[in-house]
Amino acid sequence: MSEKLLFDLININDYKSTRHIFLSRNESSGTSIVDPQLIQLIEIEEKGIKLKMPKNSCQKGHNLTIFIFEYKNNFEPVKIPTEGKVKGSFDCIGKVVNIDIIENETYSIVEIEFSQIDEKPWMDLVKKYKSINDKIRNISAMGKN
Amino acid sequence: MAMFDPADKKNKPVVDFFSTKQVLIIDPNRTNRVSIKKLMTQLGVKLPNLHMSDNFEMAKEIIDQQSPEIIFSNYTVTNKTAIEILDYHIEKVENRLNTGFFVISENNSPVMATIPLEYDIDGLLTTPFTIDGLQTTVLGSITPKVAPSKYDMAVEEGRLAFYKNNFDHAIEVLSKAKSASKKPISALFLLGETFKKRKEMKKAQDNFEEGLTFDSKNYKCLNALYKLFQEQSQFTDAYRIAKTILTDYPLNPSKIPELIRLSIQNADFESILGFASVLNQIENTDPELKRNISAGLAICGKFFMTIDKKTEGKKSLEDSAKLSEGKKEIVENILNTLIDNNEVDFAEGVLTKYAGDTFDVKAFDILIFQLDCKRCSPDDIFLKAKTLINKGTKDILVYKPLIKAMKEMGKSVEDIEDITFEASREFPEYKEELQKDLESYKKQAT
Repeated sequence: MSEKLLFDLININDYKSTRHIFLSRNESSGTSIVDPQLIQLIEIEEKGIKLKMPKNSCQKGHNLTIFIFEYKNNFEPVKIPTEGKVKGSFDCIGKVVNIDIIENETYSIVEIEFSQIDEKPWMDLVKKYKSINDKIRNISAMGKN
Repeated sequence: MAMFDPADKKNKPVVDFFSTKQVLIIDPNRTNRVSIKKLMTQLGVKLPNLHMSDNFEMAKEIIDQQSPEIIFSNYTVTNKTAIEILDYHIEKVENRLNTGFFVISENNSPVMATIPLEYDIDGLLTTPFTIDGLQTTVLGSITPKVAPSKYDMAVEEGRLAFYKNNFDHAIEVLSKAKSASKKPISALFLLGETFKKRKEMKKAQDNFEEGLTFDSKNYKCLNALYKLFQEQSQFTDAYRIAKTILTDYPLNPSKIPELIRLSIQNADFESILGFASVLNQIENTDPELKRNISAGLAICGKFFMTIDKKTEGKKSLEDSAKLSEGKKEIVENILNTLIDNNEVDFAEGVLTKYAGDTFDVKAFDILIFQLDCKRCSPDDIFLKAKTLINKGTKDILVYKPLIKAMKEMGKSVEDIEDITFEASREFPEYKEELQKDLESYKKQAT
């Protein structure tokens, strides 16, 4: 086998970040958020998530369905029906358990605890984010001693 | 990792450590600040000791006034990077055994791991956070500092002596420290750096290499060795070490341009072709990354032009201009390469298409004039230069071609003398050169 060249050792995927698009339907108020710019993932856990969402888009105790899409630069706008699933996404349903209202900001930090998840894709997603953290931590640790 | 329980007795040393610390969180993103704040209070930090800033200046003030031992900083803070904050922090709080410095990044690509590798950073936290991940990274770095070993303390003493340029003391302390650990890599790395500062390159190399005998993948020693070989122009060795590094670590974007140069120096032309073909496919939302890719493509382009692969060269140079983000040095470099290779019209196209906003009107006019000098007759150059000077665009890059054109047109010595005088008055730093040139022309004319 011939010796590897410098370029053969470069992994272009090292430059790819992992992102997803989140949209929501508030089952309690009947409103939806369809602009992916308006929802940002802050924290992710096996049983729930923290999202940055527009202020007043939900209240504590509301039931939300979160639709999760693979990230695309040119994400085509989607319509969220009043009930049921959205093509191209998987979803998780949960209750708003806490809202951090931040003064002078147009958004709140919304903590959602899931009661119903699309098990396989959700756990894959959680694992993916955890493994990224682990990978970065492990590489960083190789420099220490 | 189980959730950290501050009430658990075995966690007391950690809680004690954090309870005496001042903590500064620097992040324009409020949501990140909230998550870190929550973790810090859970680990024992007292609320009055928690300081927040969303900008660089305020962060500096807090560092001056409170001397926080632990800092969390977003990688980008008001046009500065966390590295500038780190440097400032190191200046103010010297003993790093008592500190923690963590960088927060919204970019979670693996390449971000190169940041803690390159700098004295305790950890990188990428978003979205997981509570478990935050806790593991922070505790993983801080726990060894809670009860440092004799070896750790000796290495820290050596590190401080090194930074204060007290090299004799650094060597004495670090040499002793070597025997206090089964894997004295940090001591060997610092010894290598100290010998390098003293220009004892062989000893520096020996220490870095000895460090690698304990862990052949240790980034600090590998990188130090790579830099040493680069600085000593030992390009074959640098290339060998670069490959060892890339086997286990992502390519640090700031190294893209120098690795392309290294491929040229090692006649690894396939790598250059590879770089040229994939660099513009890299996800490049970060301006710094864009500039590094652009600089890399400019080097590829220049190389292709020198081996007469003009199509590949022009493509790489155009790709480079597209990503140059207005970086003047890169655009000028691209244009000079194209001008030197008689691709003047193509250069003008690149300049107007991708770098129109890069330069102010004067600089833009001068660049177009430089292109004109390559494709116009002396009469035209003369007219264009006069027009520029009359409208106030005075530059040595205009005067020099003007004088040259006047000579070619056979203008009188007096006329050339007048212009030389004017150019010398405007640009006194060129007076000697211009006068010498004039004298030699006068001699020829007589």
